[in-house]
Amino acid sequence: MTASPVSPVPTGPTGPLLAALREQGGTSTVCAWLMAALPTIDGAALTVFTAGSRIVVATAGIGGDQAEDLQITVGEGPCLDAVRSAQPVLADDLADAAARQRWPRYAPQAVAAGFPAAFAFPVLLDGEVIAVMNLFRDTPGPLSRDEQTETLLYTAAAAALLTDDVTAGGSETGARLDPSVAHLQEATGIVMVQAGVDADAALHLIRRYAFDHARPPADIVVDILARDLRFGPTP
Amino acid sequence: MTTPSSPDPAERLAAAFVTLADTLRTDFDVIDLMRRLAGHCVDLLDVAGAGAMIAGPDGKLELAASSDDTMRALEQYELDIDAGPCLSAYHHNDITEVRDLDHPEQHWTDLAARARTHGYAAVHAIPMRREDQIIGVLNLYSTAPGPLSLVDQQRGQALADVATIATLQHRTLAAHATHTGQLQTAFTTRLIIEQAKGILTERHSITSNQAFDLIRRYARHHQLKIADLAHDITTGTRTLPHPAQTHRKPHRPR
Repeated sequence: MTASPVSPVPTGPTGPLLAALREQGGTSTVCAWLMAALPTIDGAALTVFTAGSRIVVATAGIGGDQAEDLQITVGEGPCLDAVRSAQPVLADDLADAAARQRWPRYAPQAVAAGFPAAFAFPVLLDGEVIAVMNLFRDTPGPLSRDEQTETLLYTAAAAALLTDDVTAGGSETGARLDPSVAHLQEATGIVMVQAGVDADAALHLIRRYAFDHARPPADIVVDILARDLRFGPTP
Repeated sequence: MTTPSSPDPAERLAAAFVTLADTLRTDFDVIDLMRRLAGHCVDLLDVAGAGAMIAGPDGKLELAASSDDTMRALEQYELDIDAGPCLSAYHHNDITEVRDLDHPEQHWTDLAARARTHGYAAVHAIPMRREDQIIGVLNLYSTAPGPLSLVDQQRGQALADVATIATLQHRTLAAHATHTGQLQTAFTTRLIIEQAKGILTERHSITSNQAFDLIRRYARHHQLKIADLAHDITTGTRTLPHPAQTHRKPHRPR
């Protein structure tokens, strides 16, 4: 094995938030903790963006998988804008005219899905967007300045936590993922074969099935892995 | 300097936050951060000049950034005479204002006179602190007398907070060396390995551990990188034989 270019995260006295998040389970729990820190927020999701793919690495509450699926389907939304602009996108009210003009397909569907306010904060590493922290609320209204500041603390911590995952993963086998996140990808591979579709379409089938049956995607994944649920060939 | 800025003031402020919070860059530099902080203050607050002083390892304040040369001279003068609102804010860990430089309440008449000749009418010094740690002071000069408006006070404090957090965070992560490309490759690699495992378990009716073993063995045998092989499996450009056709799996009673 050649020397890993990734050096370990220095231990010792670190920022209290980052230290606490590391202790509480790192990336997989960051959304739950952020949600706990922001009483007005009903959902959070952290999505990593790579050159060719994207992966939701943590979710809590409402919005996460559904917003992600919606944005892939319609190709627009606050999260995608945050990736492109490297700036936060604050959609206080997705039902208002400005939002509907900016995201003609995303906005009405997001409102219908139950999250009429969505906020997307880029997570930067080395000046580039590596991920987006998404916040969702089931009622419209702005994110207060304190909440924005708090979110920024968490997004900065998230960048560090994601680099932890790279360090913790093997040099050949990639970054560490929460088991539930890894299982969703494995289930995607299974559905790719069963339905004869590519990865994006397979992921969409799984998520849509979950929404249609009002069940969490994680439950559907368990059924797919156990072969209790199969997806037939997609015509 | 022009940056793409949103017409929405809330988004512009949030954008300023994000640029200040970006501490994990390899070229991150506290002086540069403070320069950006000063720039954002002049841009977003109703002040004419802004500057930042940062405490060195010995706890003594040093000039870090100023929005212009006049500010630089005034701040340097304060440091030279070791007195003034900025130093007071630092030592007392509290916002210190001279709301009317024509009538400085304290003993800073000389400094006040200098500031007046440059057209400044009021000074507001905001400590940069996080919990019990104070790292420096953000100094704001305005051309109209009076206190900072409530909105500006909150915005100034919020910007100072983020810069403080960024500085503290950078200090703890200074030795961090993961780059964007490495991070993205690591996540993509893991993603496609999981997908490839799923494909093989379905195709060959094997467990995911057996699927991963198959990938690993095949990669080693054909001198492929696991990531490249997994990619070929997910794109369908390479199909792997059933493990029973290549290796006899030893029977392991449980």
